[in-house]
Amino acid sequence: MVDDDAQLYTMEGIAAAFVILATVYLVAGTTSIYTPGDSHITDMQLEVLGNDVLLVMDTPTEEGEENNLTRYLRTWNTTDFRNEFGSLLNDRTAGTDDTLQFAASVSYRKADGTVKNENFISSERPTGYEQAVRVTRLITIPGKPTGVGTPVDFRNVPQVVMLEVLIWRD
Amino acid sequence: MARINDDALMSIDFLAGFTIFLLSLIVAAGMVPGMLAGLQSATIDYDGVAYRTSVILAEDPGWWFNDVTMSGSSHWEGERTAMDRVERMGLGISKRLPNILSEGKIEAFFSTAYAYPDDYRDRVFFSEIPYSFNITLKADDGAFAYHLGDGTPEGEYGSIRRAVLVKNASEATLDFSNGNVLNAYADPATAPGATSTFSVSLNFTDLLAPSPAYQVDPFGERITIRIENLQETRNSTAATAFLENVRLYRGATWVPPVLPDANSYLFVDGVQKSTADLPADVAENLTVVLEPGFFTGKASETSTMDLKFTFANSYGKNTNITGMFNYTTSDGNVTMPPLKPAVLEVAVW
Repeated sequence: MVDDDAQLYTMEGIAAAFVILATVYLVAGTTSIYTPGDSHITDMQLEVLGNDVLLVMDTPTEEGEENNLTRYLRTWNTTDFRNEFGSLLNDRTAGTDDTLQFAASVSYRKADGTVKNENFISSERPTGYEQAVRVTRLITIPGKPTGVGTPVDFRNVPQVVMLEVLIWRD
Repeated sequence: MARINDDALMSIDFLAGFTIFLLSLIVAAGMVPGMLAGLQSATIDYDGVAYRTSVILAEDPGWWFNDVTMSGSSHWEGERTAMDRVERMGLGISKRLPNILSEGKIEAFFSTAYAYPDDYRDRVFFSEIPYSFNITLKADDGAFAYHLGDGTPEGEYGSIRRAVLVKNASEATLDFSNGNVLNAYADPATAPGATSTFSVSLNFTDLLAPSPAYQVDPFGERITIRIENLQETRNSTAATAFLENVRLYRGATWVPPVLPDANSYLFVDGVQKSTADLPADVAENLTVVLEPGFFTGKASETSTMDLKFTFANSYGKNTNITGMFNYTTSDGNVTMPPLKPAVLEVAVW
């Protein structure tokens, strides 16, 4: 016997297919895939620049001299560090200087073997909500830093400390 | 038969349903590139190219290759004629010392020896896409500023900024009004012979011994030798000295051509001279400038090269200059400028 069951099924099928299609289209349209490449270009630029600045400060300008980075840490000279780091970081070839901010801290090993992270200097007080990138550099200092403000629990032996700088765009 | 089998109708049903399913699949698959379109935006591409270019410029010493002799080196800055041999224009002094740039390479890079923009696209950008670009290098203290390319556009462009150090060339100044210099390299008391010779010795082994950041690199840097107040070396009645020629020697062997050649300059009393102008009278000052590339093909890393000044003495024209000056950074007459912080910016669009 010939009946119209099939016809009905087909039309339902078409209707269902359009519903599914519309759903898929809506879902696909509203989804965006978030990849590291999207946002991390600007982070990469800050990181490259920050590493460059630390490298420049870590290179003596004349043979046999002490580099500035070691000198600033050895004497806990936060003012000169802030001035030099800030100027190297924000100097541009034309126009007004950039407005990058930074906060530097130093990690060192205490006498009891634990590692302590102490604030060194920052260009402005970080609120904690900055989209900051971190650059680090290891520095060898001959003993306990001598300047005013040196943490008291620094060991007075030759040691390697880690300078960590957070950089963000203001 | 009471019942007609309707299997065939079911099969048409299935065909229609499957066709719709396939169409949906094709349409859904077609949406995928649209979802990924956000991943390849132009700015990211430009930023990436700018970063890549900045790495070539700041961290790479470049590459020069001579197809005929099959020899290559990173001293591309000395090339003056066969520009095709310059394969890559990195500004670094050594691949081991990133962000320390060579003044010689900077001057060559920003010179008119290379056609803007095609030569730079081939040697720095290495891309099929003809990017527009702007490359700027400026000393933090304003001592120098170099620009290449057009101004950045109003729209989107990719850029990167690098902090670098620039290594400057050394120079020697022998001022004969200084008693110590006079005693060491002249003998004004005695009457001069028929000729006076004075040589400047460059011991490449010694010069190249320190780290590339602090050495004098005769292959990649300008070397300037200034002889000042030469009148102090004249014997009594003479009014000038008479410079016969300036020649380069390796040991006792003369290495042609006579100076000045394509990669060197000679200034007598502040006036530039060519080989045709020699011999020439020298009243007070004599300056020889050896540009990067001067020693290419003439010396090796272990050579000792002597730059010999020959003066002819006659009545009224003489000099008692004599001896050999050793061009080395430990000599007080040689100045070696400190590394200079600078900022390099690359913009691409």
